[in-house]
Amino acid sequence: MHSITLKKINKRYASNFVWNLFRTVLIIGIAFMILYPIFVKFSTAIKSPSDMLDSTVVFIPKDPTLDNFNLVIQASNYFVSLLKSIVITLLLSVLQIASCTMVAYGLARFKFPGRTFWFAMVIFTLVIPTQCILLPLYMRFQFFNPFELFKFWGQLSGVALTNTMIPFVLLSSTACAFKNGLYIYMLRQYYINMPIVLEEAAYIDGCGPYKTFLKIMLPGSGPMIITVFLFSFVWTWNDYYYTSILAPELPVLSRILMNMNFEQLNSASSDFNLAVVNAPKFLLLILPLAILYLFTQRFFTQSIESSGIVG
Amino acid sequence: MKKQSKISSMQMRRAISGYVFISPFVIGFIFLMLMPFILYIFMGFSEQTVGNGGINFKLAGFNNYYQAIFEETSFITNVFSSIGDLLITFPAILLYSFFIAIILNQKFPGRGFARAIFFLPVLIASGAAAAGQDDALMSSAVSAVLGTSEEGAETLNLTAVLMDMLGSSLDPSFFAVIETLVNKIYDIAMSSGVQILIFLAALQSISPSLYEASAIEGATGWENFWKITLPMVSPMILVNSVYTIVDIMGSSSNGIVNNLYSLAMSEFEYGLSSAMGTIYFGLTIIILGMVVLLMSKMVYYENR
Repeated sequence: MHSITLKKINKRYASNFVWNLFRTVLIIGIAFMILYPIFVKFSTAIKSPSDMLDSTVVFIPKDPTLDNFNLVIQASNYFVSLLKSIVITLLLSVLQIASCTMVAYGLARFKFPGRTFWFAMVIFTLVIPTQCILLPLYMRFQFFNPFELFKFWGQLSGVALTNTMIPFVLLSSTACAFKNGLYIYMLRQYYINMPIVLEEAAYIDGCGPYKTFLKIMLPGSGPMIITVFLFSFVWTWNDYYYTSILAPELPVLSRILMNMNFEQLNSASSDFNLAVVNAPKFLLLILPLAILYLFTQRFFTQSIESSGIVG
Repeated sequence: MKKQSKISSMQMRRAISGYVFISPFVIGFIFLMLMPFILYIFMGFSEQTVGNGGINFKLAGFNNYYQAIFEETSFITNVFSSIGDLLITFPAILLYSFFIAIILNQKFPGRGFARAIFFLPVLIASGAAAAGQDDALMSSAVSAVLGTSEEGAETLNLTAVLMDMLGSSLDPSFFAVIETLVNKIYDIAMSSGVQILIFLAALQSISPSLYEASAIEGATGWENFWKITLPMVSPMILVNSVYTIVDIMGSSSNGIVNNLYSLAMSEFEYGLSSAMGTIYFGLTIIILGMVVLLMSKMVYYENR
């Protein structure tokens, strides 16, 4: 009997070991696949022109230089644009969180006729592709004339609201910005799973629904809000479609870096290699996101454990 | 004097508060989503002329649709190839993200680090960052494996190797599917960030007492998976399916989407673009509806 148990234990250990090995190999493999392009971009970015021509240099340049970065930084007026972009994105993110939490709470905890219908409409906003509504949205903002109000001011064609922040502010504060349906869904699941005793205690103590929302629900959903903030910041930051159509001249870093053209680069420095410019562009765009990710990532993986976004 | 009504005033007050909470969305939806959407469909049926008061539309019936389906050279073939692509990529993404979520849920050293890395694609694969990338590197690596690259003497020809191993009596389309999947591994890994997160959250919400009870009853790991893990996670499979389908069909790496975009923006063919868009996205919604209907039957709800 002794030997049978021993065999079973050994078999257990063996199969555990095989699984661990398989898992480690898989994770390292996929992690490599994900990190490899970033690493290559980084190594391309610090190559000097002589390294580009040198065929013995594959990844580690013999003559590393920060010139490429400097070039892109100057051509895009990086630090100023960075600051402006951060302010814009932060503002929009906060607006999105504020409106999404409100809508999610309303859908989660209040019974009213049409509740399911409006939740279905929330999901519908996810399903409508951006391209479908972008163009009519553009026309609507270009000739902004709700209810023909502007007739009173004598401007029949409405006022051009493109190139201002207003379209984005409107979209964000009504929970209709990019992928806000997803945030509403996640937040709603979270609120549904919050113990109802918290709210009941608040009511007993005399809080109305709005006060309960501000004082109890919002603070209690901290981890989830951080997750939604990360998502919304990243997606608003990287967003290219909305900004290039609705506000092509807004100083948003994503657009500036992606649309950088020959003349701009030429004006910054006369000696550059077009092939290497892509790499610093990408890295400079991602850098603030990476920093943000580093700081919030802890909350984020923690929040997965305590969020209860599933029923 | 109290009014007798069927609905208590407390309930009514609650209902009104509910409306207040969702009011921003209601306003935004009607003005910023629904009306543009209706306008978009309307544009598909009209021809536009640019005047100084704006763009004027003239109803032109089904002309645009006729042009899109019968006259545009590659539109319909593109649509069908996109759908075919979807049918392969969508289950692949679901399976991949589910598998990775299970792995990331286990305890092993470096788990937090691994989670951070697997979620990185969300940062770099959206919008501007994706547009600025060139995955020439990955595709050259992939083609080296498949044996389709022109240079390089020592490349591995995957199809040939598989045929050797599994016997060439298998249908060649099977190999085509495998080749597509291998080609797409990078894309699949890059588009799975959000799905992995959702599955991971689902897995972590399964109460361990279920597993303890099954251990007492003597269940094997395999049975655990089919009887506990899978049913508890099934609502999220539905959610992820919807998200994945919408993501794939609408992503800018899709040729059709870029085509629609350039038609509208650079060539000012708003009517045609809207007609093509409506057809394409109408098909997406139909596919979505079918998938949702099929899956709802199989989803296990614990508390509903």
